[in-house]
This record gives sequence, structure tokens and C-alpha cells, in this order.
Amino acid sequence: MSRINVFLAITSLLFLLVVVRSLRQRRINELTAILWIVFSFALVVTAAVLPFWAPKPIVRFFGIKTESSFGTYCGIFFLLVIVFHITEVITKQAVQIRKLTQELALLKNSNEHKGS
Amino acid sequence: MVRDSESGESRTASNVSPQFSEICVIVPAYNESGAIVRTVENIFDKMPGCEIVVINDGSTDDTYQRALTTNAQVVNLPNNLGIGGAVQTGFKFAETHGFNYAFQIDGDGQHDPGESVLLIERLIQTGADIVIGSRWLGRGEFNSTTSRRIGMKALEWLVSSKTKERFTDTTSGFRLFNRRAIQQFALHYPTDYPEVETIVIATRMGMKVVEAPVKMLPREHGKSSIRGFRSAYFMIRIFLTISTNTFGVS
Repeated sequence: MSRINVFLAITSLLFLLVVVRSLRQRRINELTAILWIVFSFALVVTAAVLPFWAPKPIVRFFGIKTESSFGTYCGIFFLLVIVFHITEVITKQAVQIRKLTQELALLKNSNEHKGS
Repeated sequence: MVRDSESGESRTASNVSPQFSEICVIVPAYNESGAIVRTVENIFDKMPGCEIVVINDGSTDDTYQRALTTNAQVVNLPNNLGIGGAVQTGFKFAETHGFNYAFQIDGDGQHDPGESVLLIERLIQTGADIVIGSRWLGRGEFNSTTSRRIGMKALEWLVSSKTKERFTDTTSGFRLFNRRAIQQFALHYPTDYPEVETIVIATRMGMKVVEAPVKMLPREHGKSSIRGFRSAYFMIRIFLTISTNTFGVS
């Protein structure tokens, strides 16, 4: 096991702990937390398990030469998934903000009209 | 004059034109302080008895304060929602207050409210749900840049190919809607650059959309929001949205 794998495994474990702690403190919601937990768990597996044991068909299929490059690939893929999820959330919230803004403005207009 | 949302009756409906009293004129305005008062007065002058609702779309100038000096209803959006969000707010207002018809007239003074009669006549003649005032059907002349005209021709082709009907002025913001269209668009309306999309959406929903020839006046104040790089973004976005049928409705 190379030093880079040790470093990756330790930081991934620490990150997993941070995610679990944030979830317990309700700083992130469950859906986002699940994504981050899967992400950090995959990093731990990539860093700590693959160097010792990796099924040969999988190694051949992905053309894995070094564990660190596979880890980088996994990292980028999961980050893309998370960014896409965040984009969906932002889009949904933009729609909600638009509705709220409209309702607030119409309500204010209605109240001002009643008051006059 | 405001309509009662439950009974649908006008509170001060006496001595007003029965036609115009059924109409809510939606005027979306973003930084139109130089033109908004004149636009509202012009509408009241040409369409006596109508209800005007100015939607101040988070303007950074004194459009809101100036609009308050008129007799129009003024709905002040605390954030800038864009033209789609502003016009939809107008539809929500018209829907809640029980109006049978809604006009969309831009706050920049480019549309002549005197031409509204042409749209009303066309709506009655054809039984349409939406009438679009087109500047390219032979009434008067409208100067536009070559690139803009090419863009408009491309949009005309796109919309006509999707709807199997010919539309000459897909970006016109001078429109008349009946109650059915008001109710539909109060619920779902595109976010950005809605004019082109709404033609396709309305046609898909089984609504009848027709055009009527109108004159378009040059802008009195301010500049069009679609210019420079934005016009390229506008074209790409519209083509992507309509060709993939992924309308940005909310």
C-alpha cells in the first residue's frame, strides 16, 4: 500500500465522519447526506481496499493501472453526480422563490388596496 | 375599478365601456421610469374603463414610485423575476380578480393601445384564445436591424414548423388573452423569453392562437434587454427549448 493510498484512506475516513456529524447536527438534509456518504465511502474503498483486493474482471474492464487514477475517476464521477443533484435543487428552489415572490407582491397589492 | 374575485362583478362598473371593463391590461415594467407614466395614461386614454396592472419587476430606478402616481394598480415584485415571472404575476392578478380578458402591453411605449380594438375584433371574429399583434402583417413600417430580422425569420420558421401554422411575429409582446388562456398561464408560464414558447405551448394545449396586424412604435426610453451576446443566448435557448419540447414552465 503506497503512501498516497494511506493518505487518501485517512482523509476519506475523516470526510465520512464530517458528513455523518453534519447530518446528526441537521446541517445537511438526508438526501444530500446520502450522496456524500456514498461518495466518501467509495473513496475509502478505492483507497484502502482496491490496493489489496480487486476482482480481476473489474480491473480488466476498467483498464485500471493504478489505484490512485481509479480513485480520481471515481471522485470526478461522484462530484458530477452531486453537482447535478445540486443543480436540480437550485432549479426547484428558483421556481419556489418565483412563486413566493409573486404571491408576496400580489398579497401586498391586495392589502394596500384594502387599506386605501 | 377592481373586480370582486368571488362575484366577478366590477365595483365601479358604471359609465365604463362594457368591453374594456372586462379587460385587465398587464404592463410588465423593468427600469421604465421614463416611459411608464405616459404608457399608462395612453392606455387609459385609448381603453377607457379597463383595469391596468403595472408589474414592477424589481426595477432599480423609480419605476415603482412613478407608476404609483397613476391610477393603475401597481404590483411591486421585490426581486427581478424576468419578463416571464412579471407577466405571469399579471395573469395571476387577472385570474384572481375574475377578468375575462387580459392584454399584455410592454411598459416601454412601443405598443399603441389604440390598436387594441383590432386584436379584440380578431378575437371575436376567429374565436381565438390568444391574439398576437404582429408588426409584419402590413400595417405601418417597423425598422429593425438585419441581424434581428434574420433571427425573427428563424424563429418564425421554428414556431411555424412546430405548430403547423404560420406566425410572423413570434416575439411580439402585444397580446390579448381570453379567460381560458389567463387561467392556464396563471398556473404555468415560461421563465425566460416567454413570447416564443407560449405560442407553441398554447397550440399544444389545444388553444387557438392567431395574429392581427398592428403598428409598432419606436422605443421612447431605455434599451431592449435582448441585445449583443444576450441575443445569441436568446436564440440558442429558444431553439433548444422548442426543438426538445422542454419548456421552462413553472
